[in-house]
Amino acid sequence: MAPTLEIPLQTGSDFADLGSWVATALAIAVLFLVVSGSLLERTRRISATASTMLLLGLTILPIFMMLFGAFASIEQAKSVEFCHSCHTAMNLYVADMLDPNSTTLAAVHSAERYIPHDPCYRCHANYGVWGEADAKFRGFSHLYHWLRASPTALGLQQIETYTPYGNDLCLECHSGAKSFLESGEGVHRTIADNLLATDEEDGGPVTSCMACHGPAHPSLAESEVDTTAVREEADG
Amino acid sequence: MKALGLVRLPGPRVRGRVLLLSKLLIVSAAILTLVSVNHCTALTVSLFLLVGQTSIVVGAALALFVAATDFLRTRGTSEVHFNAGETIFRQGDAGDLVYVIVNGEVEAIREDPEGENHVLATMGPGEYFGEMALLSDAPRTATVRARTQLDAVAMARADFTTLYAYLPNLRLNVEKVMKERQRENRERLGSKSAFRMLLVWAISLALLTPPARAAGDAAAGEALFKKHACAQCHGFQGKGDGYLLPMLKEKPAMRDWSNPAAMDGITDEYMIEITGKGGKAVGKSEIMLKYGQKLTQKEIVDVVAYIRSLQ
Repeated sequence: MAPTLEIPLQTGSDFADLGSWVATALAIAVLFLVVSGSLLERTRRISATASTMLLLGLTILPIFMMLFGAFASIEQAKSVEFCHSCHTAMNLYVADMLDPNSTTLAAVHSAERYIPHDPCYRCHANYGVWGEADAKFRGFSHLYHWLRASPTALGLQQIETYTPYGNDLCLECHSGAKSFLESGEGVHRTIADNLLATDEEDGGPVTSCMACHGPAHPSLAESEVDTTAVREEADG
Repeated sequence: MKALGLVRLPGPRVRGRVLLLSKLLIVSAAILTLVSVNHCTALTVSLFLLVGQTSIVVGAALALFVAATDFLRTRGTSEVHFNAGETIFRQGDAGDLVYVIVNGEVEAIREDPEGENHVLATMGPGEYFGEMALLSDAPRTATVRARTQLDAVAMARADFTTLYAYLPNLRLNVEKVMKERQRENRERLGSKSAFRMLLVWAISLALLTPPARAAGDAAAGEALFKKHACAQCHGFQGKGDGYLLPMLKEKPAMRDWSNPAAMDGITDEYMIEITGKGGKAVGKSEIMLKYGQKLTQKEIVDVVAYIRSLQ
């Protein structure tokens, strides 16, 4: 695709793509070694070669295939397209985020390219290895709801976060920025204790960023989604 | 069997099933990997991370289990169990183990060139089989199958050859049993296809020349054999039981020169070549040194003549 100013310019190597290529090559090598090793083993004439091929194909290469496959899959699973693959549940949020006229936080961040890549994941997975692992683990429960066609998965019920949205996810980027510290005559400095403290009752921030800057996404109740039609379609 | 205190290893049927399961798991994981990384959806990624990754770990562990049992089987002495009808080894397989029957019965079957199977012998508790291929460094001469549930002790080549070298009574017994079996096999096969054998003999008499004998001086060869300490490895009678062998870390497969079956197909040219160029040059053990610079061509031919005379 020719470079255009309409989309972010991608430069340099993409590690996710590289991981996909390596995992694909390893999977093909594993299949080749297992099949040809099994055929050679049956001839019983070059058993040493067959044993080596099977050892490689059944133990050593699969370990690397597992590592590269996991890396490539998880990297790809951070994309907006991946989150949007649950269309019925995610249409409302993705469509709003890509709407240049919307004023929700997600839409503003997307329109201004504040988060160049994987915006869903960047705002909803806590930072660090355990944050990503936790997000992927919760992804399995999403799949469970999707397979069971639950009201949330069908987009008939407002999606809620598992825990109150933490300010740390916003402050990871904004904290320390001049615009953040000096805006509103330094209001953020004034309420810093509340922004950084945790509410003992619900574990969320004492004063959420969303209290002033929200909402992040449109609510289902105010949207124009015809839930009756969706339910009738789901019921068959 | 437990009283023997040996490691009990799974038989070939269990090994085959475990290996098959490992292959199925790894192949399905490879297919899931291909689908997941090239068509990334919630379903494919979840299947890969949950099912694919588990399959890889379990499949690799099973394959390692099989590899470890194969390694142990060929490196030591272990208990093995076979179900009735299970094949222990096949004619033409490489010989790696000697089996001593503890409980049960086996039958030795030889397939002739026409594809007909002949039961050569049945064996029971206390008897052993599989020694011929090890001592003659030749492929298995018959297929051995369990007639009943079979418990046996499997002894690896290294253990068996060490015992064989150190225990004269064992060596005498094994040689006696081997000769007896070879004689019985010849008689059994001969009686079943007497006419065919008669025909073969007639053709052989008409067409074949006597076996090749080296034209050298066997007496001179014997002197050279002793002078260059060939007996250290090959033994004083050329049986491949030299006193140096048990001390070697990697024991080379030795041929019994006194056994005509073991020398079948071995030409004078081959023996002259391996003596002159050494084992490594002909794909054998490099422990066999090259004597081309120490001996003249005539002396090498004399040594080969001496080796031939041992038969």
